[in-house]
Amino acid sequence: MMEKQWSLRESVAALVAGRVTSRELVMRSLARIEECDAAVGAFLLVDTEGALRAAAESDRRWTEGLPLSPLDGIPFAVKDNFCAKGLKTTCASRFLEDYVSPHDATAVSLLKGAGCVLMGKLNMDEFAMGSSTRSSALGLTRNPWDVSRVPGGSSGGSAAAVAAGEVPFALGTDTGGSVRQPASFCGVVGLKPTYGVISRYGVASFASSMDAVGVVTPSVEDAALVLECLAVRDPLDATSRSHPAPQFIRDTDQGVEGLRIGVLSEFAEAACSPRVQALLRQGIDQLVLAGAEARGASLPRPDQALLCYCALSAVEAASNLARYDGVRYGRTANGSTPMERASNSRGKYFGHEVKSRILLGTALLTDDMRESHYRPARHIREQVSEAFRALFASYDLIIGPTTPTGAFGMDERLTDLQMREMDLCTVYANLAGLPAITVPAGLDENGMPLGLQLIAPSFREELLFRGGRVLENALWRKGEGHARGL
Amino acid sequence: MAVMNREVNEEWIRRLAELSCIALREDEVASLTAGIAEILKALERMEDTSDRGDRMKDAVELAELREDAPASSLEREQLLAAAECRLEDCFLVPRVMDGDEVTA
Repeated sequence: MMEKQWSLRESVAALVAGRVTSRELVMRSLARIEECDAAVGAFLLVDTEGALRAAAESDRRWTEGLPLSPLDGIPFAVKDNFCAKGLKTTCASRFLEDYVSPHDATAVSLLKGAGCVLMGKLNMDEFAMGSSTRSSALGLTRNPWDVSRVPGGSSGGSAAAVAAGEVPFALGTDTGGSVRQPASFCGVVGLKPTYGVISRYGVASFASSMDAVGVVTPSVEDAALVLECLAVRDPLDATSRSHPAPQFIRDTDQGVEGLRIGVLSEFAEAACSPRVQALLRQGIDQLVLAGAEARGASLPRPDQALLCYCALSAVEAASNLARYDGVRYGRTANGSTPMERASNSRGKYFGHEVKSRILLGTALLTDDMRESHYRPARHIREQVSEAFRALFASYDLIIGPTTPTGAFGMDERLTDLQMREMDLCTVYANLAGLPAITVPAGLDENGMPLGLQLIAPSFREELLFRGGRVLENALWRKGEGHARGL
Repeated sequence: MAVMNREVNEEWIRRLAELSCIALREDEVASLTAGIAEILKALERMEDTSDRGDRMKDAVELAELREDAPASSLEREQLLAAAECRLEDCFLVPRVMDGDEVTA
């Protein structure tokens, strides 16, 4: 299943040089999907006609010498919680199984505006709630490295599609780690930018104070290329923010000379497998060899951050998913009154994980639990943010593991709490709104990929790319990735 | 500690489902009860620091706001372009409120 992944940068260079056409790139994507998606299951929908039509228009523009951008003609795919005009947007839920979006999400619109070709929609955990993509109501996605294992979640389809070489990049969403964790599990790069840097207009909401559009690519440089296209303030998204320095490509090769790296080693020792800890030490060594200065850093009570995330995300999910009432959009079940219809629709068409989170969120907003649980969670979140503000006074980057372990088996049963613990290392960046990236770094004892995570101050994505390139080249390009021809 | 003064049982889960407007099947109640009980038990480990007088503001800086001045809205045709079905200048939607009188 694994072969050389599809370099976005190389495809762009080939298009610009006229060595390849958009149609050829799209045909390559379609051929690869045909070859392996029956086993991987990354896609819920492939828009062959639309993609070929867009490719023809792109090729015409290149022939006329009027490409929309260097990315004109590049195929991509998006997680199925992104609206794309005329295509189904299901959020992997039976509730929206037949819902056709009347408009494009801004992120989709920006990429189409740059000439990129949308190949289709990717599988996910239902309404982005999960860490394995197993809670999708519409299909199973498997890890291309080993199809008996999960790709991670909730952006499992995005990570699997890029890892399998079906598209050179994909978009996902990251609320507690849902781009970074599957990227780590699938041996690709996953970027969560600063909260608000990429517009969420047209993306189905899960936990609005933490949701972020993320990018999945085969390499750090490719992630910088995509982010440059998407880091645009959007008046349609009230949380959208201007990036003060949205040029990222030029910084990726600047190295880490003189950068101060904080190491979350005590955290790794408490929560992660010995192999993950060993990989973290290797990553630190490589950054130091490249000229960075590394010292131990500490975050207060890491277990509190995960609990806080569990509480806040459930509360926000309960609020956000109230809109699915069987009236405005989505499927409608029978009932003798409007309330009964709404209740029956939600009961019939939501999956188990979604129901569980809504009920938990509702519980935490009841009179007694609002004071005993929700309020403390809000305070813990503020403490997490303050802890990072203090850390970034002394450090330029924080390094740590992305996941406590590698990808687990498709049939491995985890409790609700164990599934949440998959996000142990990633929730910090979401709670504090910080940018973070995972870079493939090595393999676990089962031969499955493991990533290392870098976290940067707000709007300092260029530091992630600088550090990520060093790690990627030292640990992956020359290590396990090279051994597999990736 | 975030102490719970309530037993997590199936009756309470059914009540939460009613508040959440979700009609549960009987076979779902037990598994949802177990899962939520596990999470709530874990959440009891959350430390309550609210009595320290810590600030409780949004952890993420608020978005940039536009000027507080009247601005033009979208044109009617722009809005209607999003209609799956259209009847003159109105969105046409499936009838889901049978039997209810709707007053303009």
